[in-house]
Amino acid sequence: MSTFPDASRGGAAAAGDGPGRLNWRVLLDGGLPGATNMARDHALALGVRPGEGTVRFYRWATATLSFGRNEPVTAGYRDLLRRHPEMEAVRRPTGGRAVIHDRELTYCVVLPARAFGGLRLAYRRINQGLLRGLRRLGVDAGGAAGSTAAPDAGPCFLEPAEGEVVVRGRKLVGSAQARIGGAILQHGSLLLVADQSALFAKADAHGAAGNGAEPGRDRGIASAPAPTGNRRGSGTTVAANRTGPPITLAEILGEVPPWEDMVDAFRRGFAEEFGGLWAPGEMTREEMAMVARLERKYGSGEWTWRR
Amino acid sequence: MSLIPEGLRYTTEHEYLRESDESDIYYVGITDYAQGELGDVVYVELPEPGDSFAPMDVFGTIEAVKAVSDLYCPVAGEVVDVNAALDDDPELVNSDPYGEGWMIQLRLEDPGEVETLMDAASYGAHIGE
Repeated sequence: MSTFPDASRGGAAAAGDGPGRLNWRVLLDGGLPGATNMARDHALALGVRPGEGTVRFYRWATATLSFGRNEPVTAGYRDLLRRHPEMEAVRRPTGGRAVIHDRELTYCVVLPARAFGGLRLAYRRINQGLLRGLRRLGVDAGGAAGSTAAPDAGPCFLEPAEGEVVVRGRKLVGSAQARIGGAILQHGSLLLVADQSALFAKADAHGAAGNGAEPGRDRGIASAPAPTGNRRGSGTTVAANRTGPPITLAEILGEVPPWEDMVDAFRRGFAEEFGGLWAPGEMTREEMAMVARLERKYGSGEWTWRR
Repeated sequence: MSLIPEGLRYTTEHEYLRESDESDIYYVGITDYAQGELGDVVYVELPEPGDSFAPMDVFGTIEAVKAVSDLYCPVAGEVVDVNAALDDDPELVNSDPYGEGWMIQLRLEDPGEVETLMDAASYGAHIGE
């Protein structure tokens, strides 16, 4: 069941009305290290300007385990990284739970905090843009009803939060958001190809099992305990709420579309939803200076292993 | 409509300042509007008593199911107490943002700075209500 209005009722004309009409810059990045990816997203938020938004599409240089900003690093995660020494680890500026980024399309949307009317409306509009993009790729996706269960109720991609993109009830895109100064930053992962059953088995055992899955096949989403010692009580068990394993674009379409086609579909989906003027762009010199500084933060053990 | 009590002071970043029994000590938390925007709060990271902050310094973070936000110190001051109840019950920020959901008690460097913040009417206009 979708918690969002049907996309057909929110056309480009309506989307362009009101304070949400921005000039949008589209950035395309290839595979970059985790610290660089997080530094770039963060710098875009710090550099946000009134009337302007940025959409960035990117990949990862190597499989990377990302933690939510306040998420404790469990023994299970450490064990996972020990078993996969080729895997990097990074801590995101955004909330939510751990994700293994590998064969995925990653998006980032940055906009002035009030441009879409606040965090919640921005979350809806961005997810609506993702749905529009997916329809362009021939994927009939919807927004999850979700729940307010504690975030440690199970693996991230098994447990869609309200509004997250699902297909046949299974999570396809996982997203997280942060308000940084005067900006909203939302980024997320669209699963392209994955065989995550082994990883989910580990996750169910709090990441402790590790059954020797090959790193190259371990393209999943890790278990994701919530910040502990300070959280809502878990009112719902994993089993009670589980909606099935995550789904991938390859499973839905039988293949992964060319990267350029996917990026074009999502760019158009966002443009249709957000309205405004759209153009390809680059990071500014000021933003790149911030990236250099932030890379040190996101590449540091002090930040990555802070909890 | 969000609850915006009279008599409190507000920042553009959605923190409030509420008087305590001592003239130079104020409670700091986030507004009803802010908690509604964030949704169910699952974690609040707060400073230690004795920490000092300048206006608009980040004094902590608040995390909801999906979103994280920095917390900004409304005026200069020293933290004299933090709300330990939020450790076990961060959802107090949702259920009672101006009461049991307070975050820190701040001893103001200059109580006169309070006047630089928005009153309820101005804050209501700021959030469009």
